[in-house]
Amino acid sequence: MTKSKWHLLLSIFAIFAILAFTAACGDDDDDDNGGNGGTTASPTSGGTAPTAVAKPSGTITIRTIQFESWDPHFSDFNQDIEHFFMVWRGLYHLDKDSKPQPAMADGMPTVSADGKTYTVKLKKDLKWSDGQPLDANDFVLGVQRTCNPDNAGHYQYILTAIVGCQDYYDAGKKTAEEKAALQKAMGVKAVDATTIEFKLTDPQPTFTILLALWPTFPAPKHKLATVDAKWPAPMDNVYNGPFKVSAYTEKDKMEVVPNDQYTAGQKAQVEKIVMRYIDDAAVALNAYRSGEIDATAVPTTQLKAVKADPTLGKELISYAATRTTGIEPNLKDPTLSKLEVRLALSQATDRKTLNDNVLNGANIVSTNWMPPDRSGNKAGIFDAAIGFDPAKAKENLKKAGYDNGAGFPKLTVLQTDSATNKAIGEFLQSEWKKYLNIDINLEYTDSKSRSSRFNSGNFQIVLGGWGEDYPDPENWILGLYETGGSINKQSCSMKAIDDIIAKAKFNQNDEQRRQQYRDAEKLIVENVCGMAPMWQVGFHAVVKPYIKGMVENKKPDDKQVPGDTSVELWTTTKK
Amino acid sequence: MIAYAIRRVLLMVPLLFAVATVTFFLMHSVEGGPFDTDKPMSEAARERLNEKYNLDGSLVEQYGHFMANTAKLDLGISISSNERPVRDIIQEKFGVSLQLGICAFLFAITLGVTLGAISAINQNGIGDYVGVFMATSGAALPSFILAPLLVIFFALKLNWFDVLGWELWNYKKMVLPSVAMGMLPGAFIARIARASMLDILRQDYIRTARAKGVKEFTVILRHAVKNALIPVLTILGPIFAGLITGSFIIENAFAIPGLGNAFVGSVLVRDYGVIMGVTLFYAGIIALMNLIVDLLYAVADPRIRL
Repeated sequence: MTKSKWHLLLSIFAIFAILAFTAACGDDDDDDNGGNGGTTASPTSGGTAPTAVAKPSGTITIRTIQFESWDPHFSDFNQDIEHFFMVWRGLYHLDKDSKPQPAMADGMPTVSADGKTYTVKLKKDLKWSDGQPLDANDFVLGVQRTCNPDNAGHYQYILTAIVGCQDYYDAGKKTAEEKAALQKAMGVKAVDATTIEFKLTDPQPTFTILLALWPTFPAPKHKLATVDAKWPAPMDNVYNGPFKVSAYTEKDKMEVVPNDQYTAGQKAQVEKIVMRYIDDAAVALNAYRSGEIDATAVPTTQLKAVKADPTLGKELISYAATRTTGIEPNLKDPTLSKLEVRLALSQATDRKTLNDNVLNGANIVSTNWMPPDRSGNKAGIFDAAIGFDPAKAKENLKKAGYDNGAGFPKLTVLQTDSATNKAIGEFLQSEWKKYLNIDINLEYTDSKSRSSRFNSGNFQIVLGGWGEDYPDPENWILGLYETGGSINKQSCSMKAIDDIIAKAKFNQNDEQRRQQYRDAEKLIVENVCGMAPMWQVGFHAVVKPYIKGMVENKKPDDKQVPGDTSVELWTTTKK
Repeated sequence: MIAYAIRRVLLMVPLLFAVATVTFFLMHSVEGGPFDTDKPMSEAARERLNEKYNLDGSLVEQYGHFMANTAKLDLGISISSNERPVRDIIQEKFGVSLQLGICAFLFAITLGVTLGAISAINQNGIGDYVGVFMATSGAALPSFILAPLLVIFFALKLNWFDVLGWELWNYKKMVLPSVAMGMLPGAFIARIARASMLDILRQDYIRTARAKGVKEFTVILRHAVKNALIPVLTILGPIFAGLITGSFIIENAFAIPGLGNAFVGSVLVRDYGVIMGVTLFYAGIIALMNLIVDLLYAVADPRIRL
């Protein structure tokens, strides 16, 4: 090769490398203009507001996961909800004991004698983070967005008690005029700038709690031309919570800083919270070890190592989440429609060994469907009926016509693909073979396929469960176990359950209502009507000792780290 | 050569068309859609969402719609990223993957050529064994094992680097991902470079150079390494394309928001726009890199006529 050829070749390489670098680095600059992808928007420090006690100080970095939707009136994902509570607040906010306390509202709602009209007064001079007034119409718009057929909110089903919400939601195919009329006819309106009135079809005892949740968060009417207008991206949106978004790069991180317009409650006490998006929990744990993040959840697979570590062991916090996992049989399946078969499968499952040996003791083994704290039912009261008992399991299988597993069809257990789920599946496979002499198929898919299969009833057995949306027994039963219930994908259908739910739904007598849900739980569990509970899920996280307010404000429905629905209570002494 | 280049660029059109078609139908044949969650959704609401994202027609209609838009260079919007244009997402994420890929590429070349040269010069000596051992272990160690090992040793034990990653010009966040990503191609380059170097060292012109009394260092660097690099050059293109398009494993191991991560994430949430956009982009890049290599090859070796 001649010298000049070499020079040409080198030059081409050099030019290419320079071009590539310029493109790569130049891209960051472009992002500042792109609404969704800004990385370096200057953080505004939380100004000294009237009620501020001390100047916010320090930065807290937590691990979380990229949200799927930024729209609180649409989304239903855990990590999304964690984000929402940092930057938005509803009329009420659930305290440490999961009781609603006034947030944007000035006092508790006034409820009419028939329990069907709720009137809520707003605090004075509320503002969005851009200084625009926040009034009753913003809250009305928020509720309308959740019920809007074009927005198609996942949590619309908890607002069906509001007059007209269901009709509006079902109006997808109607004309714009018809939709507008239905929107107007909804039982939510602004009486004046600071008064909101909700009309309900039936008295709903849990309605105040719903006013603390994201589907009823306000929507900034000055940012949305119409009810179905596109929800602004993080950097273009406005906020009414203790923090506001100051920087965001998709799949990388979001930074929130104190919202100086927030006057409705405790002001933010840290200068910045960085939410680092880390998909792999084991990577997050390493970043915690190296001090790059201050709090993260601990994956089940790492639990033993964390407990054994002299430092991490001390920083570990474990508590029961309001989430239950169990075996969910599809009652439409001819084999599983037999009660004895369902009982046999439940009784042949050694939950304790599974949890202790396979899952590092991560969960709280239980045959209760609702966490005992929530239902008031004692822990373990269903053990005799559905708990581990190989002799009874064999007997039940025999009663169902499959003596020692003879002639039992090969059922398929469907799970989301993960190392933990595979271990659980293999455990069930060997246990059921051992005690019942039956064979099962194990099928693993990603979560979208699993959801699609589950929702269309195209499954025999899934391993799954329920995480509480709001702190009331109603949320564990209603929609899940009555005939035709919108989330009743296992096709549980028992008249006795339907009757109890119908009575409990609008029962204004709280103690009676709770008892009715306890009765319903008994029927569901003892008949394995779509659910054989295995455990209440354990929540495990590590938090650096210089962070205060996380562990102290932990709740059983925490999303990614302890206390993440009350971020205004977090402080740090690390500078 | 210019005519050849134009011909090759034109040939990319049917190639991309085929890639788009196959991907489109494969993607839609997978169970589960973007709006599947365990929470209920009424049929009416689902239909509205499908309509909004052009998922309402038959598959053939959707395909026609997609192709028509792609022909206008409109890759559509992302379903999961607040309706952000797919082009924006690719631009942002590719920026990160490109930086990482270039660093990994530079590491791979340096490692590969150095190891290869040292091994060849010390053939069957201790340097050769060390070099071959390193090249073999680099090739044998998959990146999903190498990355955590590097993290545990260099970030957690020695505290030299960060666990999380990527920030341009911040060496604490650049070194480990680049090494983890560049190791395998580096090992590959080393083996090619060694073989090629051994061949060159036996050539007459090397003997002539030595006989003329040229310094050994000059012989190796100017006459041997330079010519030994020609076979290496041919594999650099595909390696470079592979590195800059991002690696899900490396990006996941260091929580780097690159294109590999975005691509796998989009498949998991069935973000059809991003899946199609990124696949086409990958296909385009790889085709382009192959073209560049072919052109460079002609430049490097005058015996090749295009």
